[in-house]
Amino acid sequence: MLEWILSESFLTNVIAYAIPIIFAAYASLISNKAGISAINIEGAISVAAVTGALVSHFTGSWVIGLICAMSAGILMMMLLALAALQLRADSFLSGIALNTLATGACLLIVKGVLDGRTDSSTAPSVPVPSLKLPLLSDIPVIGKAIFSQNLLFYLMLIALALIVLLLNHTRLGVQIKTAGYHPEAGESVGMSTRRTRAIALMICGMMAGLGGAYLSMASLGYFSAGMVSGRGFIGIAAEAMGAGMPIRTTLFALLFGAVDYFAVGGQTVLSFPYELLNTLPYLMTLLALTLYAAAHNKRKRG
Amino acid sequence: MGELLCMKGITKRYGNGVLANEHASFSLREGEIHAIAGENGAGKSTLMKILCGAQQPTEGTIELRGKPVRMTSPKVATSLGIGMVYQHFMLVDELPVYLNVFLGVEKRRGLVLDKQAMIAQTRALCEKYDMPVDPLALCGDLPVGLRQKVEILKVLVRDAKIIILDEPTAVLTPQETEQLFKQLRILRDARHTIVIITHKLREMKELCDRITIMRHGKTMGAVNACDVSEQEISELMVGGSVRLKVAKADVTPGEIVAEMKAVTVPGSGRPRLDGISFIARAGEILCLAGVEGNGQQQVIECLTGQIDYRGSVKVLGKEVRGQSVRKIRDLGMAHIPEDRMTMGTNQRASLHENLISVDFDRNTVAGFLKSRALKARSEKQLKAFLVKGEIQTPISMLSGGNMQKVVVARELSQHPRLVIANQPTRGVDVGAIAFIHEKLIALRDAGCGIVLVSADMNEVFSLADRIIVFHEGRIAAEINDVANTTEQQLGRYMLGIDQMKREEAAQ
Repeated sequence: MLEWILSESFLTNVIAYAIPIIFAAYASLISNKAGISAINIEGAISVAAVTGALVSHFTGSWVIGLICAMSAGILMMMLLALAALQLRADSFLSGIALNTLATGACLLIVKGVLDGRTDSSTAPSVPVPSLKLPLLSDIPVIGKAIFSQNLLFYLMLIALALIVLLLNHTRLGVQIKTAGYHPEAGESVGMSTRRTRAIALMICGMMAGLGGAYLSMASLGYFSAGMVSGRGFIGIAAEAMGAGMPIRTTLFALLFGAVDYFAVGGQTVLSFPYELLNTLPYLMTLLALTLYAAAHNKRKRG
Repeated sequence: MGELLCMKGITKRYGNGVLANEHASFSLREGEIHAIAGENGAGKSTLMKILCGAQQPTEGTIELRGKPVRMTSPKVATSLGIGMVYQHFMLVDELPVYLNVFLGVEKRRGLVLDKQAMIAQTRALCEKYDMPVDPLALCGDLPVGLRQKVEILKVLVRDAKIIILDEPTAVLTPQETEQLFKQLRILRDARHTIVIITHKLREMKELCDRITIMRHGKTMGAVNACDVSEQEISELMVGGSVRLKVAKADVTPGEIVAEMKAVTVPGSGRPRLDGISFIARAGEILCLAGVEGNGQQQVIECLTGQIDYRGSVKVLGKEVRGQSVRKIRDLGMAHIPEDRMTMGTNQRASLHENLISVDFDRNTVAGFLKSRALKARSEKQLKAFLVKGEIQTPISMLSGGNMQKVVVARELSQHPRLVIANQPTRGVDVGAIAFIHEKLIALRDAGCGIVLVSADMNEVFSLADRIIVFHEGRIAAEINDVANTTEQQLGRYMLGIDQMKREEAAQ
């Protein structure tokens, strides 16, 4: 087992499994910073995944597929904005409703578009290519794990840099933090909390869209119903563990990715009932959130 | 001559019918420090919120430098050079000082924040006005006095010429107050015009050039601070208005219903209560008087089991410490809280649900509510207390006065032996005031002890059998002969000008 964990492919696979979780965590980070929880990240990823797969399949272009996947993520978050910001519904309940809607919508879209041509719940895609950086990819171990990854991995690094820049060095960043920490203070100087939160949700949708695209256009070459399987929620948990700090959030998402891969990869390597292994990511989430809540309460009291 | 700003005929009526301002007028001269004085609820804050665009007047006009203006939002007021320092700071604790100062008007270089410029400008302002604030510190880490300075910087950076401060000294220590006054004078000398909302006489005399006095939502005119004595200001604030006459039988004090012995409640800086001792007896109305924030609130919180304390607090013979609110109530205490919106009522429930909220669990059969009996009781209570509303009406539909009558109905129907009434008639119309007063007196005559907190002089004098005056967490005076005490004398105790000697108080 140790041999397996220390192997080169383990790290490569952990990163690959972590990417959608990381995108989901970034989505959660931006919305939470602005003071609105987007529990429908899960559903947005799903809709983005099906959109990316189908659009790339029919246009033959992964670029257009990727753009449409992001747009689909944004659209799902705009629905949340409409419900929670415009119509003042509870954001949590709206999010749950939108998740349910997303599950149904994905099946309907696949069936409606592809019925009769392939398995009615899977849709093929044109994959996003991998990128092998010259020289750097020849470095042992990390060369393969970091420098010959899918293009979306590099986009993720860029997203991380942009988020850090956005939050710490732009006016929008100040507005987002104000909307999250003390909206009345913002309102008293003429900021619109609603507008800021809507913009944050757009960025959140974009991140969810990238996560979805990764699942159906990079991780696998097709969309299948249920392929998100809680990664959106796990991303939200990772963000909670990272306490809203971008780097820490990324590291926790990586950890969750590792557990996720451990459960899948371990099925062939380890002599362990795979049903139990499959529960690992969820047990981990549960444990993480419990620890988070405990730490959070302690901080509040102290 | 030099008239910078003028508000005329300002009337503000809230949705629930409460009249906060009635034909109030106010004028401001360039480069002066002007106090808006008045008791709590006199309408000072409302008038200033209208001036800085946070609220819209029902009637009235505002002129700035002779031109009519409409303050439709805080942003408009800011662009016209009017800035407000709120009593509850509008700061983002998680952001550094300089970003708070520039909140909403951040400086940028291209798309990126120009942090260096903002830090430098904050630092320059701090030096110019002698404020020892570190631009890079997180706001949440600063003490209250410095946080207030950040608020002032925030207003300055927006180029405000008129700066309004809402009760700026309420949260400050004497030393911080001294500092603030120094800075406000520096600002005035730099041609800023300053308005401070206050009810502290000393501050008006010491700091201000002119004083506008408000009472019951109306302005009583403006005076030069040097022309009037503190005595005269307090008379104008309190008013020599006729006392509401309430027929009252003589007191026949009975057993002790509440007792405090050397009670201390710590606070930030000076203690909120500092060695308070007193007793309240059955069959009398004991009034805790004082300007808000001098300890009356903490006495109530001690008596009703809401905060911890040092010393001894006994209610109906039992030490309060460690007991739940429910247990204390079960002894026979009723509590009319100050804030009917958050503590007094459940705004999302009906009148009936609010009325039964204190004892529904004692009216059950095998775990089920005795619905019919309770409904009949609620109907009877509404009728007895002249509440305009049906039992199923959501309480949020009621006016302030009717809502308060529901609270009073519920509390006084519990056959209490001790009633704690905290500002029972605040924001309530005259008719309801008289009604609530009658009910309280009827209970007292029936042998119930009543502890009343009130900031309303009329109420104090028409109800109290005995008055304890609080000032800065201590008892400034204990008045047994209420009939022969003047409002002016009470006012002097409340404001800390006079203090009764211990022996005198003991008599």
